[in-house]
Amino acid sequence: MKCPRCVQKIHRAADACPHCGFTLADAEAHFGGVELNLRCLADAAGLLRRGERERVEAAMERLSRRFPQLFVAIYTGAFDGAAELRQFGFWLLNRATFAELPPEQSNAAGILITLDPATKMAGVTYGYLLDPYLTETDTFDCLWRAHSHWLEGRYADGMIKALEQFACVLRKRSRQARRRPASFQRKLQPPTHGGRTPHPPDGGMHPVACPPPSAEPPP
Amino acid sequence: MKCLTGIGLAVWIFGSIASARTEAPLPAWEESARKTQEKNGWLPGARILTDDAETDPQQADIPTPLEEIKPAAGELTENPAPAVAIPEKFLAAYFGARPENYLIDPQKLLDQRSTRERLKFLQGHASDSAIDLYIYIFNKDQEIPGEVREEELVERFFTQGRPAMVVYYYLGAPQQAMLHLSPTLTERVPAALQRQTLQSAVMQAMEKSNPQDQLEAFSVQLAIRSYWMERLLGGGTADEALATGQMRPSKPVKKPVSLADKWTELRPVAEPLALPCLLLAGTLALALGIGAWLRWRATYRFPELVVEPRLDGDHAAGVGAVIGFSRADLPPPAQRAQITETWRRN
Repeated sequence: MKCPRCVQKIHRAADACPHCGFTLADAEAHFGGVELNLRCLADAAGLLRRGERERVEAAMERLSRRFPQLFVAIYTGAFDGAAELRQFGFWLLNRATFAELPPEQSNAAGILITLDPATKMAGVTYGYLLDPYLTETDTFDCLWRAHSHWLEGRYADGMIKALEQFACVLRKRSRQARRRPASFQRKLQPPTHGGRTPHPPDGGMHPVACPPPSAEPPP
Repeated sequence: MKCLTGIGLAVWIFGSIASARTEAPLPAWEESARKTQEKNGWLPGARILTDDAETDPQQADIPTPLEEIKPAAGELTENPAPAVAIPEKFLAAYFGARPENYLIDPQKLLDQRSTRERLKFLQGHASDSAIDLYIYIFNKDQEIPGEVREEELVERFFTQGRPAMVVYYYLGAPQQAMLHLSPTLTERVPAALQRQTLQSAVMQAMEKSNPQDQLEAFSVQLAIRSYWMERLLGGGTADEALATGQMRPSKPVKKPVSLADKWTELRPVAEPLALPCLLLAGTLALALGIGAWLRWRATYRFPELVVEPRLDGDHAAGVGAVIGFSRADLPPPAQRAQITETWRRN
């Protein structure tokens, strides 16, 4: 897991980024603290024509039908670079309410694609449900599929391709999770060394590994 | 005096002749000197100053003449047997009228089995081809009577009816065979093609030793070659036929069979199998369709694991990849934004 601002690795249950101290409050300070009502396909940049919009919405619905727990949201707008794109994705998925979703649907099951046609960048943010199952490489593969289309300004085609690739990746991960659920559960557990503490070279005079300061429970 | 002079002259002449006939002795080594020279290992003039006849090395190389090899009895060419006339009682059967069968053998020179086979073959050929093939069988030492003019006979008998190739075949001597064409064919088929056809058939026949086999090979090859004549009748060119005639076909050329004919042939076999095949194909298609529908309808779920919130985010803290698409000259991995701008500036 990486920090949306400094893109450094952060460990599980970190209240703030141990490197830059980033939290959701920082994002709210930048983007606003109000609850936001949005459609799942929010084309603020005005990239999609009517027919294209329908095609993209159909692709989003297909993916949601195949993965009933999940939903996909797409936001196009203008951002100041990749860092802001990431932070916006992080903020939007935590603060927005998507109109098409039932009230009981949590944003934790969401995949958000943010796209900026001005800086020509696109990013992915996903909720906690997919946290154990998706990697950054998986999300990059999905964006890669869309890359050639977006290069030519065919944004709708690129979005559809990215969603198709998401479906492939998610199907694969779902099967893996069904076959080997323990391997994904292990990702969420604190790091251990084979279930036992290794013997330290100095005879146990010092602790083997100090937990990072942010991982310590508050006093 | 004159007489004495003459006698003296004669004596001198005879004396000279006599002295000339006796050769002067060759020089010889003295015994002691010879031994001395022989001790030195070499005797000068030993090879030439000797009375012994020496063998000439060149003469020694001359091969002795080979013995004359006389041809074996079987290799000698026999004098051609005198031609035998066809018995008169068969002449009418041969040359009296247009033959009713494709094989004309009133003398019964072929045995029954061969006759039956050849007749069947010629009938089959007639049903397949537009050109009939008539074969007159003679013995190899027989000759057609002089008063019979074969060409005129063919012209007379075969002007009416289907085009025909008429062959006078000598059993056991295929090289004597003669080929005549009916008038409709003669107009179209060039002489070169006729010659080629006959030559080809004779060559095929000569590869066999048994007269019956020879006839079979001969007739089969004629039937094959008749295809080109048939094409000429249908409007083909002689060049094509002649050019193709250079090659020796390895198997009989069959007429192209139409789809309808093929279906007629296959129908008895295909009909009983049609229903099971259709059922099988239908079942397979149904299974594939159901499989595809099930795959399309399949839904996937993820186990919902407990994830501790991070960065104060209630729903998400996971940011995935960011990609740039501003440059077409760079591959996507090179446009992967992994470092924040803050770090870049630093």
